Amino acid sequence: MLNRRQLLGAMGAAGIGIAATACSTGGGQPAPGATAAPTGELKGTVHIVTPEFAGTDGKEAFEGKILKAFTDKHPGVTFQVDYTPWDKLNEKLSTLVAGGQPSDLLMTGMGWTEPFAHKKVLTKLDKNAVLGDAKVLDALVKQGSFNGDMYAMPFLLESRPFAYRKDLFEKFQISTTEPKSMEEFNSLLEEVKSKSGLVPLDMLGQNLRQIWGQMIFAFGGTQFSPDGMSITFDQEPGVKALQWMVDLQNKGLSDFNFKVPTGQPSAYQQDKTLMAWGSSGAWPQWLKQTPQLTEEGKLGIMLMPTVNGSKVLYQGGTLVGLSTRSQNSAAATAVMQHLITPDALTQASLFSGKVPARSDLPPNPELAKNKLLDFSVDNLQYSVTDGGTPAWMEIRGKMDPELEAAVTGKKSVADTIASLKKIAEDAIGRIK
Amino acid sequence: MRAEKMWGWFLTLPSLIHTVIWIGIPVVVAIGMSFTDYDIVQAPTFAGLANYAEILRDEVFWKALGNNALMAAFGVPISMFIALIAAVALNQGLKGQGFFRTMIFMPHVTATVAIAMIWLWIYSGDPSGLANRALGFFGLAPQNWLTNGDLALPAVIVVTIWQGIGLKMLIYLAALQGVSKELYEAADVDGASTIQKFFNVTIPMLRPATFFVLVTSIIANFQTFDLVYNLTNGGPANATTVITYQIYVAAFQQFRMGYATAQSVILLLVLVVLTIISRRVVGGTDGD
Repeated sequence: MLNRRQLLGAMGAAGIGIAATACSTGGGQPAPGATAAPTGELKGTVHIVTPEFAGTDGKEAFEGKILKAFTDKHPGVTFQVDYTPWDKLNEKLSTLVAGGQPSDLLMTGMGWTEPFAHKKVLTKLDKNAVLGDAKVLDALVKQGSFNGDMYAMPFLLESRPFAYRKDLFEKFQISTTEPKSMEEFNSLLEEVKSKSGLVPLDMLGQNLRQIWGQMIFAFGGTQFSPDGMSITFDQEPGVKALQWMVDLQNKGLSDFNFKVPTGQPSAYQQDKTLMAWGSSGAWPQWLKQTPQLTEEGKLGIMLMPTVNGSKVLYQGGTLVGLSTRSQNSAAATAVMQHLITPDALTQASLFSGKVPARSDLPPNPELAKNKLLDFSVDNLQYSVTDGGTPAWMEIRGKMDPELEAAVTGKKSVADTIASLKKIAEDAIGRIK
Repeated sequence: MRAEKMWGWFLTLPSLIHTVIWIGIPVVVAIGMSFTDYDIVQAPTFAGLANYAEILRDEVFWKALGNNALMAAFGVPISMFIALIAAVALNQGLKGQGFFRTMIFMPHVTATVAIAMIWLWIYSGDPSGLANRALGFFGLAPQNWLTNGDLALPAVIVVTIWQGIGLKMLIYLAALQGVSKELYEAADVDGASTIQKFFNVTIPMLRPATFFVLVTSIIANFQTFDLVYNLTNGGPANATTVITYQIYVAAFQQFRMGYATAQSVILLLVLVVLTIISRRVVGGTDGD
């Protein structure tokens, strides 16, 4: 098991070996056809599309610090950065590809690698050349892989443990003992509701597809077969997971209507709920909008237990891929190598609040202040994510309306699963 | 005569070139692409009528078409009626009418994203949202306007009505100023009341404008995209999705350009049919 102090705190360079057994390192031969390590003097412009560094602060963090450190070493390279929010990223990438001028480097999300690699948007990467000696969990490397080859480099992770109001739990005399089973978790929600009179959990107001993705794992299932070419979410765990979400809404334990526009304070931040499906990436927003919630006595964190006695931690994330149509792949590959360096990754993590993909970063007191991040690093081994099929880009967009219909009572769980099955099978059928 | 015709063609040429290059060719290409399977990255492959066959089975597409029809059925007549009343009222030489004309026209020239932001606040499910405050004033419970599947579409229709009044009013105002005063004077001589003059002089004389407003409004309603995109993303559970949003999703989120263009072709056909029906119902003149 990885340890917080191993990863962010006291380990440092001297302690790298401690975590080595749990991590992937370089080694072995490059995959055939993979991009090679750049050599010689680098020059030219590298075009990057990123959803990660929003606003002027983000631009300053990315171009003013992270990329500047690169150009200090390689003055012949300039950058053209396209800042695109997550909800517009798919459109941006598709229009760039359609326009025949995709970026050199594309930052994408978890679950996107298989579709983009399958469509030959991403170049096969030489894992050794890109990651060097960086310690990156094998599970994360797998998230950037397709058919056993790495196509995208893990960069940042957005972990979602449950945050809860420790002070209010104590005030309402609610047990803070971490639930060990699904039953205990459900009982906790019921207890919060009965004692506080509030909707306990701010979860259904978020992305239903991601919630379902996590809960399928919590009920012991998977969404797709290992090769991604057949569905498994229609089996009992998938059905139970969706029923659990519907029950949350029907019992008033979470509320679909607690949606807020991006950037606005969540229901948890507005004291409408005592628990939140909190994202480590939301930490900077919490610090700005409701810093009191981040205080030691007020913030408790726990994980979702599973039916098999383990836990789950939903993991979104940002990966970096190299376009197959890159006009400057040597410089772009060097930029990838730079992005995974401790300094660059720490800067990126400090800005975004997200978990750095490599586990051997030197200690950084500022980074350690993000308690959700800190907790997530401790529990990375419980990471799960949704997706896992080359047809994911088509399927994911059609999931939310179906899941919304189930949660709002417009469609039964059985009908919803049947619709989703048809959608997924049609999409997978088109890529076979 | 021949020289006049040549001169006419010459004057039409810029518009003709523009139409062929920017409308004609894309339409032909789109129709051709609608018979292909095209994922943007790989070259298109001929798919025959597969995309159209899939559209027939696509419940979400028909839901979107139904939502568009509802938006047009409720939004167009209501906004046309309000625009007509506003145009007549603001054509009386009232004090401050310039200000009111500007205010009513303002939503038309305001970016839809900005409009959506304002209405997101108005429709906030929180009791502090403006719409819920209004309900609270009458002692009614707050509503989740945009996440309630029964309320979301009506809520979006209200915004389209509000946004669409300005341009319709402007067209009616221009048409009203073209109505001969002699007709009203003749009606006065005949002893017609204000309401009789409205129904027997104003409305008939505005028939060409009404036809134009009706057709352009229907087309605009079927092309609604940015409002839905910014207000609801088509949700909840596709309650507010519209055809253009589905085309966007297919093309840019699912990388199915062939399917998206097939949907576009269906939309084009729907609009052609609705225009023909509008012409029959309202009876536009040859000069329209």
